[in-house]
Amino acid sequence: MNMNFKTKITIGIIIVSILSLSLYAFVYKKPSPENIQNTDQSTNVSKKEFKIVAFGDSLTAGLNVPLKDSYPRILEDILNKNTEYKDYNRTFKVINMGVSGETTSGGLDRVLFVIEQKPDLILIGLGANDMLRNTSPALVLSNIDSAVQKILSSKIPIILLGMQSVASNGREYKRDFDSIYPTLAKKYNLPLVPFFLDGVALQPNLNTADGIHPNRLGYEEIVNKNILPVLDPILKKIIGL
Amino acid sequence: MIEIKNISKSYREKGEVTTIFGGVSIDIKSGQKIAIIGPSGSGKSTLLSIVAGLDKPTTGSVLYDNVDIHNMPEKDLSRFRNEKVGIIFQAFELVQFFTAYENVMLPLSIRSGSQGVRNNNRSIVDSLFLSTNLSHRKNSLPATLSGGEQQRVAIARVLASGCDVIFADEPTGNLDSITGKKVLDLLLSFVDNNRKTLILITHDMNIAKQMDVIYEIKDGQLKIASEVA
Amino acid sequence: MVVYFTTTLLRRSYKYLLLTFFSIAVGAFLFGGSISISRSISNYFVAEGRTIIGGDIVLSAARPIDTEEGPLKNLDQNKVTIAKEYSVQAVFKNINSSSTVAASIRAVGDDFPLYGSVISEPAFSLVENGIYAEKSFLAKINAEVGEDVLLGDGVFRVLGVLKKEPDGVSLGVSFTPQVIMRAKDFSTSNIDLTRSRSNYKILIREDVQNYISLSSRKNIEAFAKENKIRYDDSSNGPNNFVQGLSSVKSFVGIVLAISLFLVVVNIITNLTYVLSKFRKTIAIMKTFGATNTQIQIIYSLILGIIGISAGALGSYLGVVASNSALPLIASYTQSQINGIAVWPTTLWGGVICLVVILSSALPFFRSLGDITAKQLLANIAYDTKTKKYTSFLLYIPIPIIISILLYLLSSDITLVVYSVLGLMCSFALFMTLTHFIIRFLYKIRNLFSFIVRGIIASLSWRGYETVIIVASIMTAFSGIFIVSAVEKNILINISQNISKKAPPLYLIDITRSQIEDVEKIAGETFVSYPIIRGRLLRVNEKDMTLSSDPSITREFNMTYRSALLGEEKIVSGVWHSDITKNSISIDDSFADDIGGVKIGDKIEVFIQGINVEATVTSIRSADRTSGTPFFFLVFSPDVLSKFPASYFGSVDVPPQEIAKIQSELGAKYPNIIPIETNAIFSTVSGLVDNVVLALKIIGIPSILLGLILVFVMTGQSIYERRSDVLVFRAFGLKSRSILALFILEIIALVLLAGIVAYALSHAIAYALNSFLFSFGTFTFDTMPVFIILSIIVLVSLFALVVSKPLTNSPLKNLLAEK
Repeated sequence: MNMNFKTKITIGIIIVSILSLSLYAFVYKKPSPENIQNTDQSTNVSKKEFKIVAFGDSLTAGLNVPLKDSYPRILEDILNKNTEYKDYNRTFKVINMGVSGETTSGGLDRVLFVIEQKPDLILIGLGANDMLRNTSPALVLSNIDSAVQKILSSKIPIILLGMQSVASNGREYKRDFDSIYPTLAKKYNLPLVPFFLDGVALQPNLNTADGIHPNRLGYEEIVNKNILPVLDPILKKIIGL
Repeated sequence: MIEIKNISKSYREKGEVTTIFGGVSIDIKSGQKIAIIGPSGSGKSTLLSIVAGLDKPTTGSVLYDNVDIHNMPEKDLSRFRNEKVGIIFQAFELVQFFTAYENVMLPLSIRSGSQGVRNNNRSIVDSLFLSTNLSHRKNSLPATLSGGEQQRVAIARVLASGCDVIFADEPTGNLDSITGKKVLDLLLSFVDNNRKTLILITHDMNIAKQMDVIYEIKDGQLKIASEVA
Repeated sequence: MVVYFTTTLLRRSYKYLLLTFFSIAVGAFLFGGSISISRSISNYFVAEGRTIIGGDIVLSAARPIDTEEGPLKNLDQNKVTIAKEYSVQAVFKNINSSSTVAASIRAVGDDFPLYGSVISEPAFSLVENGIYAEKSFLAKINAEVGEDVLLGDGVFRVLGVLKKEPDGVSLGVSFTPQVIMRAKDFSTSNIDLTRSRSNYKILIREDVQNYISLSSRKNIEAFAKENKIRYDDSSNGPNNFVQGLSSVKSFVGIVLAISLFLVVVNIITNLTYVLSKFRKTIAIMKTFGATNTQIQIIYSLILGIIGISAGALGSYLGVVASNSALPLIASYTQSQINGIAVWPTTLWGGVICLVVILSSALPFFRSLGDITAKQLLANIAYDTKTKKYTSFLLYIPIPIIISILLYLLSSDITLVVYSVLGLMCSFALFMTLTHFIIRFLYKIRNLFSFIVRGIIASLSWRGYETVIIVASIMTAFSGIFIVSAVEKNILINISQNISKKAPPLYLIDITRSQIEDVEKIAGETFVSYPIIRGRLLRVNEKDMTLSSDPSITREFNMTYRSALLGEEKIVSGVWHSDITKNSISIDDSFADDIGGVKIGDKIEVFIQGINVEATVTSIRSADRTSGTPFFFLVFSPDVLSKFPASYFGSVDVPPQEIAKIQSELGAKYPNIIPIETNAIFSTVSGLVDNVVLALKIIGIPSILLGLILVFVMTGQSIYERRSDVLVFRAFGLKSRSILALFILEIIALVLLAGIVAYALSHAIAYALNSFLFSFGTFTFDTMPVFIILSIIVLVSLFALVVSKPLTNSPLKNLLAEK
């Protein structure tokens, strides 16, 4: 075949491209759910991993703030970097399984998926959206109860992150809603953070512009003042310290 | 009366200088009839335009009664054109919008004046129409006049201005020989009767021979071709 | 002398000046008509802006705003009305039963609403402890108009059904029904506002127009930003609708500038023609001693008389016409539009046209000076240099005049500056393009047939004249095409998520276990989409979490499916099918926003604690008017189907069935939120319709003037070529071929102008789309193609008619004419 220079070059490029693509396809690894990574790791290969799942709604997912300012990431950083937790000899992974807008019905719907992650501990923080929509406290209680049962039957420890109703839902409603988490804590003997947003709710400097979702400062408050005091003893118990 | 002193005309095109003519000097006496002949493209019309004050020479000067017309301010030059010279064109060049009457009136209209002056102008124009046998065509537009009639109007226009010097650029060029002769005779009779100076461009030797002096432009030079004392 | 010649020339040669007279009269007509209409449209936009946000300035925050603080305390209470209101979500209870409903309460002051009116049944009139509530509120709480309901400790009477709030479109979609009550009555409920989720607003109305200056507004805005308060401004605030409207207003100015410019171009073109008719006359007058100054004065007077008379006549007719059209427009746009005084405008129109024609004629006056007496001489080798573009200084008054006129119409300096600058630059660009295209064609003319060669030679010979006329036609076309292109894009973008075609009922938050049952209840029109929330982590190697743009670091609703929706189009790549693995399809505008994503790029997302990676296999664009949910990221099923999802559904049923579905779902699945979209649709689509109408009205002058220009050019061109026709016919060219010559020449010019204008208008529309309006999608517009074709047909017919006498009359007649 009589080929001019241009044609030769073109064919050459095609052949090289096919070879490169084949090589790449060979080398390329598919991601799978088991490849769980966090974007900033400070892992020590010799330490055992301790996996915590933060199971909740937008307060967990970190609506209005970047991922790094959400409470699960802040908690993870503190557990891995603060000297007081050095002796725990664990690499802590706090997986953010919050879904903004989720109600307890949605939460119940996906609790099996949460369990499949095989965590060492689950923090449940659901109900805020139900409360804002004035969903019946009885339904909310029933949903969280079912979720808790499913988790407990998989032998995974739970910490409840309590939610309370706003005053404008009415006194009766508030009374019934606020009792949901304490009721469950009592029924299943579960550790309870009485109110997730305690000290942070409605504080302008600790919340983003919508006045409902905390900012980074707010989440730091929540982790340090509300969660860690309850979490720490449980960690010690599980790890065996 | 008219002194043409060593005028030349050249122009520049794309960096090249072309000389049309050079070193032309003529003295024209009052009442003289001059013909300028020459081959096509020799610069006859250019020479006429310079002497008539329509164009400037590249070098040299044109003096009317010792006044250099090309160094005049524009206002004076315009007055000069209005009062001292008149031009008859080969293509007649009547204003298409104006009637024959208004065309003849043109140079007088350009000269502003009082009501009395205007009345006087009207009688001048009326008499000119009589003498050119065009009274019946006074209110006609040029488009409806024949070639001969148009040129007669042009002659009347020039005469209406009362100028001393008449320039004629191939005045019969657009006319047939019979009409052309009639028009020329009319022009010459006016020139002679009123002692006007006439400078005429023509390629027709028969016409040129009726003038007092014939100049010829050839190869960029002006020479006397013949002279009648 | 001057008076004599002015009157005589005017009397004798008015025919040649008729076209100039007509152009000015048309321009004045359009100007006179435009003043009131454009002012009205401008006022309408401002009024709409105020109604949309609820005030001239609106501040809102999650906590009470102190009006004694900052720049607010400096406002003169006699010149503004400051209304305070707040909204809070609270639960109402039926007095007689256990039915409750959570509602969004709008607690308003006595001045509510500051702009617009509340539509309710019966008519809106708040009294002590009364409320107006949406229909769904009454349905959920099982109450009727006239009955009492409980809110906390307070008893409230339902006064009527709330149908539409004037600023409803700004309030957005609420998950709970709206209730309006007086702020002072809320306290009877004893509900602690500080422990409730509430939002506070300050609404400011200027009682004296323009009392709050631009700098005051800036101060207030800065104060708001400092204190985490949202600031909305009716003239140009962050609210999307307001931005859209004020951008449209600006755009109206651009089109007006083009129309004004075309009037000037028409005048200049006509004057060129006029000059050619008077050339000989002027040369003769100069031969016989008229000075340059005298001639310029004569023609100034002639043009002045034409300018004033045509201007006055045109303005008069324009104002009368627009005043009579205003009631129609006012009723259509539901706004107050005032007419303007006839006689002052007529007078001003005459004066303005006088100024316009004289400033446009500066090059003409200069050309008068170029005519010399010697040009009449028979064989003179006078200057045959092709005319260069005359000194640019002479054209400077034109943009100045246009700017002044535009300012009179719009009262907006910024608008004037960039409209006129843009116009001048475009025109210069057009001129340059045309010049080079014609030059290029001239060089290669020998490749073409005789007819085409003739066309090219003719275009080239006339030099700058052709360039200016073609550039003007391009400008005219651009004006029309920009209107069309932007109109189409506004239509798409303003009604982005909501449109007339969208289903009337959306259902949010359906869980997986509920889907089947919901489908049964909602019926066959039910369509559902899985929604999985996640965040963008990486695009190839780029860490997207480090971006400072919250619209990139936020959570997204992602979905998966293997079917392409009817309203979607693949822009590049291949849509993933059932068997494609690890694939993601990205929306084209989003692909640009995250830095230009290409096929084959890797996208990593964070979903419920898990990092997921997929390869971009297609880029997609969607018709956002369709009402189907819009997703930036659509994965192949294998990637996301393992994640728990909530479902979003739409139901397309007649209004009477909606209530039934809602109540059944509400009872069984209270977590599912139904959203009815009708109220928002009607507001938005009404708004869009009015905007489009305004644009069309403003665009008409441009079309008309462009058409006039094309017709004039055609007529002039054919007339000037009379001697050419003579020669062609004498040498045996058929009349049909001569006709073809003329028509093809016009078509070539129109096509040239049209294509260039199409390209530029889309470029401008795109720029406006992206940078001024900040719209996401851009669509190409097909309307210009029809416009160009129609104009070609019209002008061809016109050319046919005009050239018939030349091509058909016996040769000898033509010779005699000559």
